[in-house]
Amino acid sequence: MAAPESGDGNNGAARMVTLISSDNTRFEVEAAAASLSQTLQLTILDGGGGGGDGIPLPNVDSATLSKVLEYCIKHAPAAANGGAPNATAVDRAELERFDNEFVNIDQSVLYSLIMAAHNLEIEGLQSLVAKKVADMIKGKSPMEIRRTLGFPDPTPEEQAEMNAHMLEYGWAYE
Amino acid sequence: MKVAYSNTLRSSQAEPGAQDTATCAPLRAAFDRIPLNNRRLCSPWQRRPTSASSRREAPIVLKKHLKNSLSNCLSCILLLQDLICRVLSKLTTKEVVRTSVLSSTWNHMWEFCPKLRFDGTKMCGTQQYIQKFAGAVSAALQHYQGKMVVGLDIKFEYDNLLVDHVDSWVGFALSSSMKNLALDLVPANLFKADFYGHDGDRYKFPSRVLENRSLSHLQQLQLSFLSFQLPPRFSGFPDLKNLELHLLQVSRKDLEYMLSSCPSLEWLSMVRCHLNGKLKMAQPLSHLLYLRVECCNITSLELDAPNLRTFICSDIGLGAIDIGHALEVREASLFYLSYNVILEDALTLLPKDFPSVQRLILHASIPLEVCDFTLYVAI
Repeated sequence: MAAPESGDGNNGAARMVTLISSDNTRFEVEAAAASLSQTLQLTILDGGGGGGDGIPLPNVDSATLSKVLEYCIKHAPAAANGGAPNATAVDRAELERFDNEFVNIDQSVLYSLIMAAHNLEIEGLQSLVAKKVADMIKGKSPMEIRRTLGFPDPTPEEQAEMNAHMLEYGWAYE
Repeated sequence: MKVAYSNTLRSSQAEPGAQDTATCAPLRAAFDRIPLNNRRLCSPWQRRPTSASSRREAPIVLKKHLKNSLSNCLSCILLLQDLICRVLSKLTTKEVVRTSVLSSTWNHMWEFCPKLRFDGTKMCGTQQYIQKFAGAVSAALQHYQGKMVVGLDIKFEYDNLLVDHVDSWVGFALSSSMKNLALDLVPANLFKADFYGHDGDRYKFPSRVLENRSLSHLQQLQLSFLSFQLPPRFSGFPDLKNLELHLLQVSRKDLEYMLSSCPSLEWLSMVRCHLNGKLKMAQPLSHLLYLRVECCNITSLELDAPNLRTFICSDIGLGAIDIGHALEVREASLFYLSYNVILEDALTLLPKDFPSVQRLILHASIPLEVCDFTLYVAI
């Protein structure tokens, strides 16, 4: 395992890889940014994705992929520093601002983003979208949560179950 | 390994059949089949497996037309177990319980919320409310019996009438091999507890629990307003990194022995744990980065913490602090509330005690010998 990794290091940060979205759009990005995806990381370490080849991503469309790559490019330098212990407060605040802005999107985009983050296994992005969903849940009543997240209105049985639950766990609804 | 993996990745993308794996209904069905006590459900805090074989479980793929039809259906993907755990981990226990009314699938999901936090201090402090709170906590914990819980954090005003409840919570902590435990009991009257707190008001931590190896997974432990005695066969806390003790009634010998059984300790805070004497550690605490010892009636402190970065103490005489060479200490705060410090001592001893310190706070009253005008200049 060690040899290819050091080989990759020698190629430096400038090494580019090509990713191909489901609608055949080609994206050329730095290997360091694409490597935030655990799914792509080993392929890239193996030397894949360079030259004319490109890595096909049949599960991700071009609009979503460009959004995902925007995230990866922004976060790659910090990730390269190993979670950026040396990062200044300004850098961290800037990343946080970027993250907040990044998930300020409508539900269909969020949906695609969750799927892409899950498929490509991008840890930071998975955590970020989960935080966004958690924020959508916070401070809401059960019915509001259902509507926000697009759950259908409860059937009578579900309604009865909900009522029983609210009775049993009254402390959570106070 | 890597060649096998990259082949797998390409072949799984090449197979058109693989794309059918996640229509909403099969996903829901697949999810329903996951046993409720499946520990993988709680695994986002553990490192995800990265071996080639685990990756062979193809990622969930949606066909384009299906995806379009589902594009506004966040509820469908909220069945992804990994996502649920991540979302739940960011909510408070109350909010997590509320999500269980979302659907029958979510009904039991909150039971997998691996971090539990109950704070009773915000309730009105009447006996009746505290009893009600303790009852609710016990009832909630019943649902987690036999399941994995990463952390339990309980904060409330302790009363001796509640000893059975607290016993059952400690028993629960024991059975679930948790990593973080905080028993943050609050005395009804802090002043009374601090000065006359030896009259059995505190919760007695059951000694037998400390014999059990189940608590040896603990990484963080916070104990407040309780007393304990180490059993003869104390199993130690080999993984403990963070220890916070407040108003703890414990003998010096037991405390020294407990600390020496925490070889991984990085963060130690002791406040109002009256030791009335000297604290001396025979073994070095080589991972310790942060040490805070305040209001503990310690006459002298002797321990070897070669990597210590931050040191905070109060009322330990200037010459009575020996924390080894302390070459790494960058921040030190010393508070002297109950007796005076001689300026000359401070100026000669502190640079020796903390040779690399960058930020030093000395809070003390320093008496001036008004016999020489030059003293004003010196100050």
